Amino acid sequence: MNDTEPVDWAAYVDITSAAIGLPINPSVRGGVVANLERMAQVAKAVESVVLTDTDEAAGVYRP
Amino acid sequence: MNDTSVACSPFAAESASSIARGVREGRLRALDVARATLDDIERRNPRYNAFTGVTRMRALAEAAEVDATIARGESPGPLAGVPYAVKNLFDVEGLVTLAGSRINRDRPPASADASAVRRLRAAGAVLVGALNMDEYAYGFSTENSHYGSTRNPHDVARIAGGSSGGSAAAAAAGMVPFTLGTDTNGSIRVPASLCGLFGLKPTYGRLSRAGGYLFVGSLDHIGPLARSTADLALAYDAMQGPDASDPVCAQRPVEPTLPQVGRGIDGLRIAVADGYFARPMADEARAAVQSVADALGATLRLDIPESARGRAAAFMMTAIEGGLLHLPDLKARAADFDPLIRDRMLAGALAPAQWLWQAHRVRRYVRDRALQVFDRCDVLIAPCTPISAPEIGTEWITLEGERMLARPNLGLFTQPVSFLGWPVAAVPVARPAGALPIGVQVIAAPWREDLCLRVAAHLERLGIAAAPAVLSR
Repeated sequence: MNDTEPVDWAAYVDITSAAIGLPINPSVRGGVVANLERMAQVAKAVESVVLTDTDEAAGVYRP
Repeated sequence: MNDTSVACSPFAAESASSIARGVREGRLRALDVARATLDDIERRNPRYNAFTGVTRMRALAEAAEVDATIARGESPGPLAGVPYAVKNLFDVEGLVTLAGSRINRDRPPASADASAVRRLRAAGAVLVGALNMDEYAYGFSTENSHYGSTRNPHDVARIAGGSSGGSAAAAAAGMVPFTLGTDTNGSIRVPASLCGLFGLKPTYGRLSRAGGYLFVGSLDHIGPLARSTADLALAYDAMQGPDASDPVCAQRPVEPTLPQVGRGIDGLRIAVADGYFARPMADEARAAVQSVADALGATLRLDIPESARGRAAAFMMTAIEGGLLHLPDLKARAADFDPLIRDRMLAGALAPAQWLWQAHRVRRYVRDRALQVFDRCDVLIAPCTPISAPEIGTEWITLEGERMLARPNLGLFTQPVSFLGWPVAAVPVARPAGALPIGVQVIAAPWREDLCLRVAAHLERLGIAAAPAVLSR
């Protein structure tokens, strides 16, 4: 996914919702696609952080 | 309290501290305070729609227990006879934990109290009810399609903020001296700012969330809202301490803040947050920060590094973890979700795993860089909300020529700080009578809630910070 190849988020919604068995009512499909498009914009900022293999997630599990 | 439409309880303007003192010294009976409070809620709550449930029988029983403890000559606790209420995502034995939803209404009542509620009861506090919120805490406005919008006591045409909107409205209107809320991205601080209250979002992991219906466990905090710093500290101190039933709750001893709040600001290096926190905001928000900075003599301006990418990561974690938590209900009964959150929940549940995992890794990256700001200061002042309370139903706002969605951007300045997990006091800035309230954030390094509260109390003493009285509009 990059800026030069626009993602078809409507198709993405159809495929992933089928894959995990999450029915998307046609009346809300447009809203879901719009939200994913917005998330994709925000994700660019998160993905722009250059991490190394040693950058661990901030987990809290303690055995 | 000058709420002229309906007579208030004689305790409506009383602080938690003064009620507790009166009860402990035998000048007040906890039962009388509870009865007056319950009657007051019955009379005035319809105007604000803050409560979704009133625990009358329980409150009377708890108050009687406090009076009996005193009669036996035993200590009733620091919150003796103080009425309070909790956001309706906290478990209250015998009540269904709604979390603002229609879906959870079908669940059985809670079989035990949340840890925080248990601790407050042990401190002598008297629970009078449960409070309205955005569905599943996913919002900043408490415009709840199932239970109605909570109205701002300072102007009932306006939102109270959210998601702890009922918690803010109940305390601001004087129905109770303090309440509990939760804060994932700003849900204590935003309503505190819009309703003119003091609010404390402690360090992530400081207070136990056990028995609370979580929204995004990676980011969720609990904390109090009140009309003074002293009341905030009193309630906060009573809830401190480790709790093995919350995996996030830190193994830290109780560090009482109440004895600290009168210490003033001597020796503290105070700066104004710059960079991200100087983004477009309304004049009243900018003026609030300036008046606090002037009062504190804070001239240094410092950037909190990586705030923008931190906010983006918080947004990702919220949408995806929130959506996945509710995946079974999204599959089975999506139509029962509040339309204000449903599409976001569905989108979050479908998002690529990479977005979530990257956000969690970015969190430590951002933490390591942001913490450097405390090499040069101990406390930071930042705006709390970019605007004062908008009217109920407001979709868009324009700030310095930039048009943006109103609801998500109420958390513009709070979201990066909860992502970091740093302690923050929301502090209401004194304004001319009748002006809508607005607050600032007083931010400190992890585990230094005492510094947030010291600065808040100092501003209160200077008359720069104050919870405004409610004037009927």
